[in-house]
Amino acid sequence: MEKKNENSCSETDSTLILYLYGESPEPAAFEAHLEKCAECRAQLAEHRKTLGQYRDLPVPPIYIDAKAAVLKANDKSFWMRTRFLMPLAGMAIAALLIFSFYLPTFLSNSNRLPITEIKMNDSAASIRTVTADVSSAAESISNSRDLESVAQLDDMISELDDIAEGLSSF
Amino acid sequence: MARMSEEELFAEYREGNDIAMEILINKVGAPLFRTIFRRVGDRATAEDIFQDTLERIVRHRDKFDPAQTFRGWAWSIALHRCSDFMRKKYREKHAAENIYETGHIVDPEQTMSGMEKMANFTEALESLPVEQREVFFLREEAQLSFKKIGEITGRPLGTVLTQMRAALKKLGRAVEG
Repeated sequence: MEKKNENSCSETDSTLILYLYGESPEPAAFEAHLEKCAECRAQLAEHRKTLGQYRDLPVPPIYIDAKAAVLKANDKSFWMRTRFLMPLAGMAIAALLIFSFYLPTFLSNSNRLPITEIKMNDSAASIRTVTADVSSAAESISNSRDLESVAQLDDMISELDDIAEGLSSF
Repeated sequence: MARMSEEELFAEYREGNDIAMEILINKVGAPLFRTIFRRVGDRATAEDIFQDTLERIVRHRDKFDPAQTFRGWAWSIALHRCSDFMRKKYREKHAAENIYETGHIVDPEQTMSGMEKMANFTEALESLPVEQREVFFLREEAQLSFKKIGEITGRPLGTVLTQMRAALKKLGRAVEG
């Protein structure tokens, strides 16, 4: 490494920086140069002073909660990446709510009975079936000329018919 | 996982391993925050930019080029955010006041001189050309070699070293004055 002229040592500028940061490929050779070059020595001292002042600058302590930071960043990232889906989701939910609100009206207008009416009609039908069975049994009894039992059965059949009638008209 | 390189940890995170990212943040978090703080000179702003940087790293993780270093990429994001802030909102003369008002000086006996030095450095860093400032922070804070900085920035090693030398000279003159 040689000086270009008395006032400059530009050939070693890059080498000086590498040496300053411990990246010089030939530190011994540069140190030998330093012994002979006042300019490089002054430059090196100046840079070290500047870096020393910089590194001494106070930095406020910070507690980094890495887990929380990752969660927050993931969460923010998720919302940022899905932000265009939010309005679509909102519209879909609104459409579903509106549809659900008007569904009963739609169904009734389609001549379909509410669930409760369907169940009551089924119950009435079941009662009529039982009534028919009982009537059949009563006929058998009447053939046996047990008039009292026949009368009781007739009363029961009438009551069942009334119940069935009531359910049908509910 | 503790022995994995930062690039390997980030690759793990990209495959869904959040623990890897936690380890990575513990490794680079402090120097990254220090860089940001020394760049903007205000703790609250530095914390915001730090969190914003993490969020951008997460959001753009699929854009990370495995051929580059994680530190170079992360620092690049952070420095861009700092530059955005400095361009839009920051005035160097308020930096020392903010630090003093928030009471975040570590050593109270260095209050005024620390504030002045901080302000001087912040102003000096802001006055550097962006390439010189980038090289300075990548070497000084991200601890990347000059060769690696050259690879990241696409500049010849000689250019990187010249830029670093120029940055140090300007910073030296600024803090002396």
